[in-house]
Amino acid sequence: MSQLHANVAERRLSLYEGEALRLALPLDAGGRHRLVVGDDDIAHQVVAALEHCPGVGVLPADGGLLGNQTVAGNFALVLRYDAAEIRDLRDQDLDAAFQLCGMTPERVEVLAREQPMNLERGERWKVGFVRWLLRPPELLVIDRLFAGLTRRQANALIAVEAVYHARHPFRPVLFVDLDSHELPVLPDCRSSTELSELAEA
Amino acid sequence: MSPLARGRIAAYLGLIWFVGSRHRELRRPLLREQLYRQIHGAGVAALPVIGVLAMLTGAAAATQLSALIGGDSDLTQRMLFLGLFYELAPLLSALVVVARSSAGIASELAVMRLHDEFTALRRLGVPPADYLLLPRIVGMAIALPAVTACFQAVSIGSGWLATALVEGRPLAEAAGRFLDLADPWLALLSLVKSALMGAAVGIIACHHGSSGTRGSQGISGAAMQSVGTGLIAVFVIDVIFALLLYVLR
Repeated sequence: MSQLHANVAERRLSLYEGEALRLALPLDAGGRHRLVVGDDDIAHQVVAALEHCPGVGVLPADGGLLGNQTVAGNFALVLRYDAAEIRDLRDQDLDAAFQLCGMTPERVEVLAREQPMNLERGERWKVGFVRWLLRPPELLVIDRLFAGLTRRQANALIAVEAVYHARHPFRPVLFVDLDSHELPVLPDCRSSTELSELAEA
Repeated sequence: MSPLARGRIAAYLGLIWFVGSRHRELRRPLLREQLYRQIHGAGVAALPVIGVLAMLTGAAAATQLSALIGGDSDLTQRMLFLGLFYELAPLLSALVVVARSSAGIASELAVMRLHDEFTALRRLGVPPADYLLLPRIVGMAIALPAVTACFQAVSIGSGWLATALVEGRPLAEAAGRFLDLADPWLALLSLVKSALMGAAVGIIACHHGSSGTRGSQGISGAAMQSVGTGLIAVFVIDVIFALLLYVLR
């Protein structure tokens, strides 16, 4: 199978399969983009190629949280790793970000003490999403979010994702989705690319 | 030597180099917090077991020595120092720490690897090796000498008490003779030996936890291999220090 690789040059991310350009995204125009792939193996390769590019953040369907730490511990890790000292996490930015995602302060209070394993999938994803909302990457890759979700659940998460565009209008989001007839429509999607199979090397 | 053994030794040496080159990262508050947690888990939490074991070992050793040697208190105290303080205390402390913490570290890391949390950490912008391996290895190298020092203090105290009771001498006399005969350099060397044992146990547990097969069998395999190899490493270091002492004398 040809090797997928990606690079960032002149504010533009390019994904190549061997020498062939398969995807090109401007990194300063914001908006939603979608890449539909044929199977899990290709999706895994695409995400692996993208995440090695500087400035690319990946948000997997399970939120990408550490299971042996509380939600507060996960935030401490992300937001304070480079900090000179550990400060109180319950700052206004964090509360505001959770509220933007539709969580009440009371729920956030409970959530902070929970292990991610105890949260339902949508909530786990929202926690991971809030993390990127506070520290937005150049390109946010949302990895296979809709697999196994009902249409209602998927639309609810798309509505939450809209917060990101309102807050960071020039930061694009790339949805990497599996080819499925149940795939929900992304509102204002600027580009949709299909990568159903990779050529043999 | 088999390719597997060569590969393992190369991996252990790689981890030693890694700790040497990245130890400054422990200045980060979050890594320091992990380090304290590790020291607490492997050291402070082991103290009740170590305390009981040390008290019983010290009393048993002193009683047996008194029965064997008779009234020669100098020889009893010399053997208490060399046998118990220098040799048995670091070894038994290491065995307790291997049994309690080595399997714990390896299985915790193997579970994290199974759930792709090494990748999750990398995606969060946190180097997984710095965050997961460094505090565990350094924490073990600090915790084991501390545990050994506690073992030495308790076992020698109970040894003095047992000598005083069995031989019918004042406690201060037994303690005084021991302190006259004790070599401070050997006491220091026993703690250095413990630190090396702790580092070796940490390195081995981290290696087996963060590599090997994924899955539930991988978790139990990592725990078993880290305990087995950790025990061998502890005894190898002990023999090296015994030979060192023999050569120096």
